[in-house]
Amino acid sequence: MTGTDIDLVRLPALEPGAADPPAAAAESTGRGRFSRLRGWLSAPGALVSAVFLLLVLCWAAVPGLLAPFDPVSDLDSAAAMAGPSSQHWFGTDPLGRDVYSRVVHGSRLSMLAAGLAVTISVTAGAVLGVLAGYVGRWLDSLLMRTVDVLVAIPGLLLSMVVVSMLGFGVVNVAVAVGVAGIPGFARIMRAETLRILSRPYLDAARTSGLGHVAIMVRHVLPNASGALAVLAALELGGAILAVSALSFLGFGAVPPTPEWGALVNDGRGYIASAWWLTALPGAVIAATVIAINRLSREIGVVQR
Amino acid sequence: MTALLQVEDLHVTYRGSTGAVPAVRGVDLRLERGRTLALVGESGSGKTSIGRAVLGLHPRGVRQRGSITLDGTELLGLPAPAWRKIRGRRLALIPQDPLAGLNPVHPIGRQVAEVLVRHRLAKGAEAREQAVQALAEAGLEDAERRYGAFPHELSGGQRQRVLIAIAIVARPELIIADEPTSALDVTVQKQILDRLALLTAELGTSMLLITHDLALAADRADEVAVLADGALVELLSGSDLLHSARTPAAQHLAAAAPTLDSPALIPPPANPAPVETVPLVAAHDVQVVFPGRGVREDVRALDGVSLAVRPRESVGIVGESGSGKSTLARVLLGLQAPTAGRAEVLGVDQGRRLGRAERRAARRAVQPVFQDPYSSFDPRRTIGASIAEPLGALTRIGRRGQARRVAELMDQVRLPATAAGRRPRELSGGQLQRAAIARALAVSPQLVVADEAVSALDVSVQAQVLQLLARLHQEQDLALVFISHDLAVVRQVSTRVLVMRAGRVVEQGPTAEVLTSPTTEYTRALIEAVPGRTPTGERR
Repeated sequence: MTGTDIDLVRLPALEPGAADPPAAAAESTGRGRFSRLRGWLSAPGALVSAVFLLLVLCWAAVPGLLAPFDPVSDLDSAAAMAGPSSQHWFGTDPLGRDVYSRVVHGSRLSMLAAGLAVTISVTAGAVLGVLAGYVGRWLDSLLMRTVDVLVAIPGLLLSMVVVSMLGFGVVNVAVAVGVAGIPGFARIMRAETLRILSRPYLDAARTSGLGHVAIMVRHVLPNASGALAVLAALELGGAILAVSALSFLGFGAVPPTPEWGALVNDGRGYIASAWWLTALPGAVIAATVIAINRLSREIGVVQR
Repeated sequence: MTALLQVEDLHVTYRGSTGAVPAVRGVDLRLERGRTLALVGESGSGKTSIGRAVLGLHPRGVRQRGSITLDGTELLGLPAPAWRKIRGRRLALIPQDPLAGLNPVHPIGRQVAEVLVRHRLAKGAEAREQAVQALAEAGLEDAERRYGAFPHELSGGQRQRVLIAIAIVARPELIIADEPTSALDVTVQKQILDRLALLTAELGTSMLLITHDLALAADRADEVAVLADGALVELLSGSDLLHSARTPAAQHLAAAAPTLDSPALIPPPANPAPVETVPLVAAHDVQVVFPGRGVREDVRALDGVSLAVRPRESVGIVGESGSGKSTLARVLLGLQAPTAGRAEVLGVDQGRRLGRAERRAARRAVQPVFQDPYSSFDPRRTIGASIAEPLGALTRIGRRGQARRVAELMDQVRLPATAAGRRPRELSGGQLQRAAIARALAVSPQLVVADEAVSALDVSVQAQVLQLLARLHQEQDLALVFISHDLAVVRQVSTRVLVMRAGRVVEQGPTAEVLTSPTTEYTRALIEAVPGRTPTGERR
């Protein structure tokens, strides 16, 4: 190591004030990002999760290419109620449809519904949270007490009430799950907003002459996005579960459209004689949720 | 006689994400019994790394090489159980942060007595008695009654005394004081350092004083080791530090350290603006009261302060923490509305409902530079975007014009053009503070309010930023309000000074006059507490 090296790298902030950690050069940030990626991949759990989630996303994107059979019209009545085999990986249902193909095709609807639900939660929660934190006073009290009331009702129950109001269907289920997720995001966003408002760069923005809207859009939202992203990833897993649960209860997809929760429900009557009808789609749901939760933890690490 | 502490060819290397980072590179030190050795240097010079190595506080991943002996015993590579017998008993640390250094859930007295109990020097009532005595020795008034107090019930200075009590209670041979007073006000700092000097003299304890403050080291240390880039640059006696350093690096540091003797950067104005000109900003009998919640009482941050800053003036505001100087800055910047009284910008009362144009005019006239360069930039935005922000909000300059203006401003504050595309964490504190000044200058304000703008910076960087402000003041007729707890700094850049205490202005006048012949007891105490005041001798 030569004398100049110390200038290139940042020392841990040991000195009081740590006023002058030498600036990391642009290329070292690039390298930093790369090593972060490598660190990511060295965690086997995260790697497996990422690969599995990629597979599920591919299912949802191009189910026709990945599923060996048509999920609705390929009725192989000779092979109905057959267990898992090399031809039918997840076995077949009472009508002789390939369960694996139905899981593959069902992923699209389940993922889209969960995605829509989280989008609704994030958007509405972020807007309410920013307003509550930024405006404060009576609006803060009003919004946050409303949120408190919503939190007091179990999420699934709330979703069921909303679906009953809107009517059955996958979109309505997604909206219902999304609404049930709003309180969490509103609370996080409000806390983040309050944190950011106390930062000196907000004072700098005010003396720069920025208006309220500009401050919220340019400074508060981007700086809160990290926390929102972590929660959103976590919520996505929960949303898949909630959408499936509501479909299982019969609020969602209309037969014969394949959907994960509906698939589990379809097999419910045969649980003693044909375990694969419930267990294998259930396992896929569980694996997806676990993978998403695992990856959301990685997002949290990267954000820090 | 062997030295109490002997450090030979010490190397400390951190493992960074991009490879090994040497923090200390071959340092030799000797500290005799009953003496005080100061380690001085800027951030990254390795002074704290040495302190931590002596205390055996480096985590396992840090590579250490060389030798550290305490009274002949090798400390490097000592196993953890052996360390536990030495730390607190023979070696003690006085940490920097008086709040973080104490456990918030235990009474302070128990935290002092714990040292004795751990080292089996005393227990029960005896430990308590000795702890009370140590607290009294450390200068905590009413030690007996405060034994059961919790850290949050004490002031910063009192907490620091508790930390000193913890350090001295077991009568260690060596005390390592890592920036023991940098979080404290100057008057408190002086009391604490006086007390430490007295104790080390009485008990014959040696002290390793780690500080960034050269004047303080010159005042308090027998010997000073000047460090730069992890290497020992010069070893000299405390009295020689400020005026007789031999090596260029040490001279450079000494020259940058402001004392009450260093030359002013801004001469008194040759043609002061006549009194009848409209002040750029004015406060008339301003009061700011923060309402208390529940049982807490209201806080009167400003209690009838009046101030007028005229064009081309440079006004300094000094005071200790809680004196209301930052609140005054926020009032002048329009970030805090007065509870009573009036704040005017260019003669316009800011308390009225203002039109958009009036509001903009006020913002354009007065711009800020804040204390912490790291947190005064949005971490998600590039420096260029942050500097351009006031241009976008307060002027009609188009995108291209903004880019040109940003480049011009960055050139003015001597920032490399490449910095515009960087994010705040990629720049150093000094560079960021220049960027903050560039942002303040973007809309060509007539007044810049700098609130502790250099206190988070190393002395050499501090000197550069001060010179930059002085240059802008003179070249661009920029008026300055410079707020600082550091009299030596205020003296360099202000021609008029206000001394604040408890929300009031207790004294004001031309800087030279106030500092040489203060009329109030408080100002006199402030001046006397500034370290490095007497250039030679007269220590302790």
